[in-house]
Amino acid sequence: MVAFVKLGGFCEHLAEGVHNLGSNTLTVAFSNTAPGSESTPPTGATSTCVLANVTQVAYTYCSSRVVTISSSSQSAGTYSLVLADLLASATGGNVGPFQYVYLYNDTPTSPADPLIGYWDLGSATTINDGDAKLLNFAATAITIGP
Amino acid sequence: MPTEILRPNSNVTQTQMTGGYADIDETSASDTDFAYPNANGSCVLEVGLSDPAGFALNTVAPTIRYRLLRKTQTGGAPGAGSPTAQLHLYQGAVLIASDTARSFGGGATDFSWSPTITAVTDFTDLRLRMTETVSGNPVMAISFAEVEVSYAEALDLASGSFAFAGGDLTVSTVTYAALDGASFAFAGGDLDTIDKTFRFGSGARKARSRARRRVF
Repeated sequence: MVAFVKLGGFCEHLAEGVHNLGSNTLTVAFSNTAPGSESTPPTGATSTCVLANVTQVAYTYCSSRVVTISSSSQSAGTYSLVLADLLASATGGNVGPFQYVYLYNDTPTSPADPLIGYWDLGSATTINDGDAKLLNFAATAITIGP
Repeated sequence: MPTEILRPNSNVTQTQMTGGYADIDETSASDTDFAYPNANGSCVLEVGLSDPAGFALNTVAPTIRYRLLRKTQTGGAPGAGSPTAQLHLYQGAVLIASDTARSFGGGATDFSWSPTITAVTDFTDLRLRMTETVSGNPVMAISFAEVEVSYAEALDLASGSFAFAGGDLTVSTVTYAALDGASFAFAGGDLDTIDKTFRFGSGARKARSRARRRVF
């Protein structure tokens, strides 16, 4: 299981009302460029924490990347975001290779497509034509708590 | 693409059949045990399959392998004749696909079948069903069956966990001391008034000119 890396800008975006994790359209993006190696790393200032700073792979043959939000709630002061596993398949050609899976919010327009964080798979993977990868989110994808 | 094998693990329907899933669930085909019709008429053996461990794909045709052999209705050695049997794939009570009816007069024979299974929505409820209409001997027995399905490789993504810590709040008590006897005097500067007289007459223009040049 690969660890989630929170992007610093997400914290400020969350605090300043950019995200509504319960109702916005959360989506995954695939990249084969290390976040720190982007021309404008999204790991920097809050203003850089947007999808435009991520070098994505082509999605020509990729299935939908929109994530289903199973639940968004808090209990005893701990917020939990539960995401349904996403089956990403390739039809007509390959998708990738990619090593980084970003989670971003496709709903906001200012800033557009703010990033939440990413997972580093450790090595590049490709969804071959006719094949699929299951993005197996943890039981609680994001926890915010004391 | 990774695959896994689903094997018979339960009996769903046994109509005029001797034997069941336990006779056809071996990992390598073996004719030492088998299931077979034991009476004339419509004979059915329907077995449940093990659940896939991975996220099985209905977009990729599985490979279904099975082995048929001729027997008598008591499981003995067959005489001449070519009985016919047919294998079907079900999801619950819903027919997903049917293989070609198989008929032969020789020894045990292996078959392989790759049906379209896009209609499958629940891989935990798949069943293999062998049907046969029997009229005397020999009958078609089955000694092995398995279903190889493809599944999606899982990318296991760990949870993101954030903690918010608030800074301490210190409430201090402030005591104001009374200030006695303080007095303040304001001293204003003197105000001077200057009388100025302007004369206008025959020399008015010169006087006004002088007045403009004068600095007050």
